[in-house]
Amino acid sequence: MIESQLAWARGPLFVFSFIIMVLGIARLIVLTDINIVRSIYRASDKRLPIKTLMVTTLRWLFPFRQVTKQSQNRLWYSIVSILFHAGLILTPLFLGAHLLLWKRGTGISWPGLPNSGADILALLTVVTGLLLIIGRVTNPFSRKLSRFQDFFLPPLLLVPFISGFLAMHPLLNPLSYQLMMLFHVLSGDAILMLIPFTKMSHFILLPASQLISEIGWHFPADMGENVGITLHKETERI
Amino acid sequence: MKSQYSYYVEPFELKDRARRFLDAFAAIIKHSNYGPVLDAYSRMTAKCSRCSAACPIYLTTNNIKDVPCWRSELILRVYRRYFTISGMIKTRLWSNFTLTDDYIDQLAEELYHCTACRRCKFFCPMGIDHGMITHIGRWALAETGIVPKALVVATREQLEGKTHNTSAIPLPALQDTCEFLEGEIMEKYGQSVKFPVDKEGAEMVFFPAVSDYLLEPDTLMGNAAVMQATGGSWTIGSKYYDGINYGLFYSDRLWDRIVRMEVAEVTRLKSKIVLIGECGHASRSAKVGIPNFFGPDAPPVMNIMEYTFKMLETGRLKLRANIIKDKITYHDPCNIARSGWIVNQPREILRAISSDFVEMTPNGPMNYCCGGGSGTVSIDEIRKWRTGPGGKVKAQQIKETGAKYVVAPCANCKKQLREVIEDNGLEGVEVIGLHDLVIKAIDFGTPQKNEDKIRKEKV
Repeated sequence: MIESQLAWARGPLFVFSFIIMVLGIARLIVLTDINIVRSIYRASDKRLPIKTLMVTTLRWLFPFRQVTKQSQNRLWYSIVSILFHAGLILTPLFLGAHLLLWKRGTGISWPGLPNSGADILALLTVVTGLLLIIGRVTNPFSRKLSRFQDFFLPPLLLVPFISGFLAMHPLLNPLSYQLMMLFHVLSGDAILMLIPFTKMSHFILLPASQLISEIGWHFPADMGENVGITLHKETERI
Repeated sequence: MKSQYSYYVEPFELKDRARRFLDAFAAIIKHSNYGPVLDAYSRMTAKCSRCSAACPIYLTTNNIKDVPCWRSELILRVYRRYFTISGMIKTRLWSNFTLTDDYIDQLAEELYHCTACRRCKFFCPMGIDHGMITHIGRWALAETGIVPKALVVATREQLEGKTHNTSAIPLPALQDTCEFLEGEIMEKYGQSVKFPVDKEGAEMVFFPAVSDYLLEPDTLMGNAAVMQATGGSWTIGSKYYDGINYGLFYSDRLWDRIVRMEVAEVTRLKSKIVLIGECGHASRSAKVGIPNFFGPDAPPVMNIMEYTFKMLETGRLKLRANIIKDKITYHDPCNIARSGWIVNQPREILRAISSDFVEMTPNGPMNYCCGGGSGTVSIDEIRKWRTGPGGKVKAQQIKETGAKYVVAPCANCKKQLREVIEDNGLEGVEVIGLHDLVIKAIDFGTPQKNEDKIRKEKV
């Protein structure tokens, strides 16, 4: 029973969620790129501060400065968040067992982490993830700022890490290997599907965010006039 | 006068407000490049609340409504609901957010609590420019009829009034002031300095915040003295002489119309450069607005501090060192410092003339807003808010430097900082412009005129 469900989750459901993710991401990239190109094309002042944009973009893709120079701003939160993201990205990509799956599915392979390393990364992700959740729930302001997905996604992200870790360590696993793997795969599938539709899409959009912010200040020359015309206010007195 | 907001507004149409707000929002998204920005922001915003520690207002009030991300969500929510596919689907599936009159009232209140200083952008891992969201939201509000009265009245005089400037100074009064200032310079410094009006073919046309003619004579005297000492080719235009641009604060449509008058004046006088006086938002509205509204061939924009620094650097302006003995500090106006445009130039000038220059921390692009940014300084009825929650952090910063003079090269910052100093009990601290000090240090190198003066004094 569980075997067939696991096979379904690993097989058709995984393929389905993977395709949803890829299509969703592709849509996001295409739409964002069209938006950016169109905006720059429409903009009357096309001189973008390319160098500054690249530097700030790289600084935020690898935000190590946040824990050194500007450390007065939420130092511990920044450290925990960076570690969480590192674990979140590295563990699934470099875990030996996942690499085998990649190789079987696509024939591509790359060097992975030793199992002990993956264990440490997984635990790091879980611990930092829990800290972030605790922070969000206990801090009254973070709690009030949060929407449904802000509460829902972090625990969901931790499920595959916890279940994967337990499945790899039979002595700690309170359930059967199969059942634990089922949790692991199902939650993984859910995450893949949700990436394009939730704030997780920031992992696609982040490299463009500085550029996008900048093009907001580069607009078509007739913007003001056209808004006036659309709203029938061309001749209206102030 | 009664108002439903903490600031006065002129009577506005109440009927169909939500509809009209959304129409305005839609028109703005259609014709500007703000659409892609809102789209990306509404997807990415992670609600990490890291920006809160960046906002001087939040640091004082500790109120969630002053967390930049909370305020931005007010606008992003409207965008998500009415301008995205997911918003459309969600509305059909279950009851979703709806834009109501109360919600618009909330927007009107909250968007004018933000000074759009854009400091929080540096702290947002997603790179969200909350100041831009405030900017967009205020424009949509303005098209719905909600703008602080203080801003509308000034802009109305500037665009449609007789005097074409925000302080309603008629040309004869302006000329009188200039003559008076020329006399002052002669009396104090023994120099014959001219304020040229309508000099065709001058390289630069000068647009200070027009209120300087009423409130900041020392700054203007400094500006003119630098021009005189360096042989700068400049003029004041008689048809239009105001750098102030409240369009930047509430309506890009008016921002456009106001910079057009600056460019028209530069064209009329066959000049090349738009020279802005010591004013933060006047500088940014021209620097960003002119190339955008006029394209790549638009006349370049220069701030007077850039000019003075260039002259100092190339040796054409001689300043006497250590003239200013009192302890001074420098306040970075957000509109010129946040982008890193004018940060070092004034500091170099100050170091050249003063023996005791101290920095506030943080400073430069990371500075704290004076608390009166984005036009709120002109709204007198919210002074308590501006100098309390808005200015407390700044007051603390100034206090910690122990400086006697705060140099704030911005008409708005000056007014606001004076009120901050008064309301926060900082005694003996004076707010001045940069050129107020520069004029004291200029080495005119023309002893002959000084002799003239001495001779006159003897007579």
